[in-house]
Amino acid sequence: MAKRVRAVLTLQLEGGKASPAPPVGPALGQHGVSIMDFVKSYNERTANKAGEIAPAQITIFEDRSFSFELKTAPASDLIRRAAGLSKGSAEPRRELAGSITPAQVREIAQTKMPDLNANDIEAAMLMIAGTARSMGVEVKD
Amino acid sequence: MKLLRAALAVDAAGVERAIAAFELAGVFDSAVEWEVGEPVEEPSWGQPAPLPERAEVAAYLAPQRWQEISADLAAALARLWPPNAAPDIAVREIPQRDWRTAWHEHFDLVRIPAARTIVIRPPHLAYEPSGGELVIDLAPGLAFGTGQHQSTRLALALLADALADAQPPQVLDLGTGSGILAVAAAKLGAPAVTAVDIDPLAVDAARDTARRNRVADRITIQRGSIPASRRYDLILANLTADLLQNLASELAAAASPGGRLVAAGFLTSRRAEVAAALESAGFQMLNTRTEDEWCALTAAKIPPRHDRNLC
Repeated sequence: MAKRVRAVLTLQLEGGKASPAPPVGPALGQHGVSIMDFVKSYNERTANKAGEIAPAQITIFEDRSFSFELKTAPASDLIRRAAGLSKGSAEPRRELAGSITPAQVREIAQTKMPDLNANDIEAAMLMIAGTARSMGVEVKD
Repeated sequence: MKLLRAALAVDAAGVERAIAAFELAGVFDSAVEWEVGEPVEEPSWGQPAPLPERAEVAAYLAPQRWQEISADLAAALARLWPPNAAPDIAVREIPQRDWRTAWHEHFDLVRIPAARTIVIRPPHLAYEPSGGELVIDLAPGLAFGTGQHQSTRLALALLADALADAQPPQVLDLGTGSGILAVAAAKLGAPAVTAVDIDPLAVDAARDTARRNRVADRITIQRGSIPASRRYDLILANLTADLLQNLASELAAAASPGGRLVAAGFLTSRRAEVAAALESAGFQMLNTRTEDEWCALTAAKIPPRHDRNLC
């Protein structure tokens, strides 16, 4: 069918736990998308990702039908998990205290390459290491 | 209850950092809302359009929660961006509502005037047809073809016109999406309809539409492209200008002699090239319809010379 895209959203959601509450409701609701259809499909496809952030990239077409694909977890989430820091409660933390190895940086960079604006793995590693340090996570062996 | 939207406007390279800033402030469910601007064409199925260059990364929060995290978000931004380069935080109030039903306001009844008027009814609305109207029940969702788009309405109108004076024994709906054209053909009297789509989600959606309209027994729905085994007396192809041109020869091969083609999904600016490709494949143009910038056409497969009834 003649599909022209009117909006693209990437929602950070926990696998298997999408609901019409924010952010799904207001983010999709403003585009007139059938929210329960998304919630049901997302939860079916991410039932095996409980406890992980499994971002959904949703493409909304001109006739308000939509499709979505699952993306890799945000770099910050991968860094946090590599450093062994649990998400815990949603307590704000201005910085984390932990460390990851250069090998872990490379692994995260490889995972994130498809979604990063990086030309090669070295550039992606620099971006990941920079984000980690800014979050208070050291990079060391 | 009020709801606040706190957003950071960033370029594509800053999206991950903005997500990280929200995470450091304790918000793990941010939404990246990409700036698409004018609607853009999806290159082809399975190949999403490239992401835009800018986005807003937003969090939807109760006012109390925003009070708790705003200072931490500002501190995280200062850590993640060079001095004086962090994006501003734009906060605005948005109306709270029942998001499960918010989409209803965008889906009204759609009435399509044709040889027989077609009415598309979403599940939340009741409707009693009158004067020979044909009602199609459709639950919009994960497949294109909700009736909200001009190309769907144009294809339905040409379909209703084509079936007004003939009942083709075999109908093919190529790229069925929600199944709306296949279901309309069956409800207009076509005895056997084959609906195909390469998208498995569309196949599921089309089966749902067929069940809702109680015509599942007359529609064969399968994943794939043009079936090779049969010729069709009417082919419905609401695709794209490029696909119609690329598939012109295959469409002609699948059409029975004298069979009709309803082609839609292209802009009026590309009508000439689509028509030329179809004509060179063996179709003769019969009729076109337009709505806004969109166009659809009906064509007939010209029988081979030895099939023609010539004196």
